Amino acid sequence: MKLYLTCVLWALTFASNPLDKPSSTLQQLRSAYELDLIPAATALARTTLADPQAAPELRAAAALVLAQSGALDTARRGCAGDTLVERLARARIALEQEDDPQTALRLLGAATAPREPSVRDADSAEAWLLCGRALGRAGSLQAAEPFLTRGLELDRHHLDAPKAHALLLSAALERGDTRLAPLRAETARQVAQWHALWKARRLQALRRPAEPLPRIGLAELWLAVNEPQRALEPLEDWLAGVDQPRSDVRVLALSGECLRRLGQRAAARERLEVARALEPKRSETRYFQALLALDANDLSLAKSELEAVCSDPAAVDGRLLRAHLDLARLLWDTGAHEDARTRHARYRELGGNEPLTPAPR
Amino acid sequence: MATVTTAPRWFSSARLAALLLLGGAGLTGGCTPNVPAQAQSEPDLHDEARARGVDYINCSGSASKDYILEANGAGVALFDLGADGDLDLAFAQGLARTQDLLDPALGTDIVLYENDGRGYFRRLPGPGLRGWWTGLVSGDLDNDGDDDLVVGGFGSSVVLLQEQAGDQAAPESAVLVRATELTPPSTTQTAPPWTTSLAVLDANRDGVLDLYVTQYLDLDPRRLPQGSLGKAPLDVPCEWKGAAVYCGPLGLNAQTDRLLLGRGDGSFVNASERLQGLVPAFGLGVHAFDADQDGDDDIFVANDSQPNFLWINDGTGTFVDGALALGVAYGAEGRAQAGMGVASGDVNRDGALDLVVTNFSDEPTEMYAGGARGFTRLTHRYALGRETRALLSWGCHLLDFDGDGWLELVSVNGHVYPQADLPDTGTRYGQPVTRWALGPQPKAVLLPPRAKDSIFAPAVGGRGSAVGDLNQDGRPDLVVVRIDAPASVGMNTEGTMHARLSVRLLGPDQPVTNSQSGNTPRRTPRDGSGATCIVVVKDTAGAEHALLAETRRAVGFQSSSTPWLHFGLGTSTRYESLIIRWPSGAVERLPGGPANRALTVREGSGILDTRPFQAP
Repeated sequence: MKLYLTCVLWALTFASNPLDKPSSTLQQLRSAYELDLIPAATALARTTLADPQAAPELRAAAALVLAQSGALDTARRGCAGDTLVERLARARIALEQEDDPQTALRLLGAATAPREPSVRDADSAEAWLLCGRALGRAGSLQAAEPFLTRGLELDRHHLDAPKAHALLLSAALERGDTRLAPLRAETARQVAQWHALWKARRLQALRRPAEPLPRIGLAELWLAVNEPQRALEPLEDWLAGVDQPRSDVRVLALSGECLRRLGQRAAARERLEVARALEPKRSETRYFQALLALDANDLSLAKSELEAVCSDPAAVDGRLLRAHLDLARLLWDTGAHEDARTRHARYRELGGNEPLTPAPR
Repeated sequence: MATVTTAPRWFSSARLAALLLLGGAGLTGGCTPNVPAQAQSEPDLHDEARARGVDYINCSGSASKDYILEANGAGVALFDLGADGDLDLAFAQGLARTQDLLDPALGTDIVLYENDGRGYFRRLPGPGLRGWWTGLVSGDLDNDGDDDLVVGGFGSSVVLLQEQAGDQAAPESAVLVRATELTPPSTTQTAPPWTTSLAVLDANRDGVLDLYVTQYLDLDPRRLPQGSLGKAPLDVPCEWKGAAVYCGPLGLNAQTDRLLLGRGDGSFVNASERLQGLVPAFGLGVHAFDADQDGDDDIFVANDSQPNFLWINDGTGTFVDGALALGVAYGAEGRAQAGMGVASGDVNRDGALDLVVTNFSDEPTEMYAGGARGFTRLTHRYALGRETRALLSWGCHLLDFDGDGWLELVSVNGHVYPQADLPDTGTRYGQPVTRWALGPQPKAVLLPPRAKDSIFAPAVGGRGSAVGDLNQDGRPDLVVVRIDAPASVGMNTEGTMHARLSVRLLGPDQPVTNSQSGNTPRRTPRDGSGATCIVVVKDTAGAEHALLAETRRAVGFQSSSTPWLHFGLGTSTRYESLIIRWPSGAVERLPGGPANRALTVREGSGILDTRPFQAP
């Protein structure tokens, strides 16, 4: 078993090793902009813009960094092309640095009433969102609404999503929509909180690359919004970044769960077995294994694992709340209605609010 | 001859009258830029602090700003000590290091200066306080007809009542006597209370001044945070743009503001339960004004990195937070901003008070137009986003310094982090005081300093600021607390071609007692706090317009300004009428008169005193 574990861990280590090499220029520039670490990236941004061969994506990312540092002219000149990314960058600079929504709208080819709302690049979430923001900035909140909605449909987790939700709330408030406004206020609050945490975790991961917890936090954030692929990335990054085989059962278990949610059951099973072998009694691993068993319709295994998880003292942890519901529903589905009700009552006691039987879709 | 009417709420009568007046004057926009070229060549506000005897130097902890307390600096109050009719000065003061708070012997006093009536000052002995002092506000707290002072600080806050006042021959006989501690009698907090800004208002319209005490955060001088906050490995580094800086406010515990109802004798009773839904927040700036135009005092609180509060008064002194519904809680795109200072004024001359809130660098100074359905953001319409983006702004004022009839926005700026001077931060540590003309042109126009000794020239960070006519020449002057540096006293010499009017509104000259019953009729506070004056002016083409201002002391950041209202009449040589809305609900209309006068008006008694301005 030990040999097997070692092999798996070595395999994970050498599959790829992004932490051993500097992240790409594009990643560095984007991170600097998104996390407001501008001074550390301005030299790289200048070098990038000085390179006539630099790809438009790089030029755009560099321009945003330089604009944020105050070098507006250099930024604008450096990404003067007509590619989408360069126009997006110039529009963002116009909007965020120069308070010039009209230029942003022009760069992105926005059309508003009386025509149908449209942008030149209809597949670009960012174009829609920037146009919505520009219209909001110009005081046309009602006109901004369809742009923001479309942008969020295309990418609900875009960096501009908190701003878009806030503007949608303002639009509802402006027209006195007392039904929609509280709902939008709650959504805006949740999205803003998610993004604030996401940034904090990214900063922590950047500052402490060897620490698994910030990556686990990032993965949990992505799982919370049902994005297993994006959740898996920071975990795989961390696993691949270790310079010698080592274990973090939490990373292994959570990455197993990400793989399960992606439908990669064999890989998930393998990852969870490694985690289980390292720390057999860990409830979280057992819970993920129970979910895997449920997926495979192995109800007996799922039931025994869930019962073990729910009877463990650790089961009061909020992360395991759902295990109580899953067990109650499993019991219900297998006809053990009385036990199911008891388990569901325990779930409610611990703070859960979902019904025993899911509402029909 | 004054005509007095009493209405249950002034809203129905006076508001309507004001709207009709504005409508009749055809003030529906369409202004054309008309900044007189002559004005550009005039001197503006000379910094004459030293020449006028003000030698205050702010002390605010270490130059490297290792802890958050050291970054916020101090405020200043303009108030009348000795009731001799001029404005004297009180400056808050800090200590050399945050750690000095652990040694009670190292506490400092506030710094007082007495005005000779011509705007020259003499330092007075302080009242003997010991502490780290932050914000100040003035008002007649004991209803005896003179200005008292509340001093906020880290650890304790005190009420200083003025005694032996009224002897014009010997103003130095006036003394400030420590009357009341505002520090909560019991607290579960381990950290001392940290008061920032204070506002006087009459929350329940009983004619007695009440207090809003803004609180910031828990900072324990025995365990000062440094490096990062939280437990490793999920601690958050205290960084700004990648540079290590002091920790906070995010990650530290916010404190809870307080509403204190006055008893009429300078003492107060805690009534914070009247702030319904009050939660702890990093409060920095506070300004009482009538936000919803219903004739009572509402309260705006600028919170740091958290949604602002706008406490809407139900008319009885119970408040609910309307900031979100009225559109002033967050920045334009939903982000909680780092609010610092706040002021109100009728920027667009539509008869409703507009609001300005200063913020952190990379955030705009926000301007909101007041209206019947809440506030409309004017920030970007006035191009203030671009203008103020690099500035970290504190004190602010909406006032007509040049007398052209249009308000200007003054903001006192300076970054909190010395690391702002590192390359590529997009901002600087030392920042000048800035001023923008807000009309008649549709966008804010930066007014650059016109001389080396202008108060707008030096890029030395400021914090608190107050306005008032120090030399009684009819022009509002500006006092600025510069962090770790000498204060500036900007004497206003501009607008020589413009006429002006100064108005002081006073409530009935009778002491008020028994403020707690709730059954007393609405009354105007004796010092006129909350009273509104509308000056109707006819321009050279014969068109009328109305200028509106409210009597408010707590303006900007941690500071207290003049109770006098200053109006610029442009080229008009007279005003057509005055409409005064008293907090009692009464509305008075007074006939017009010549410009360039200082008028004192008492409720029910008309104009008590008219005097020409002094030569500067």
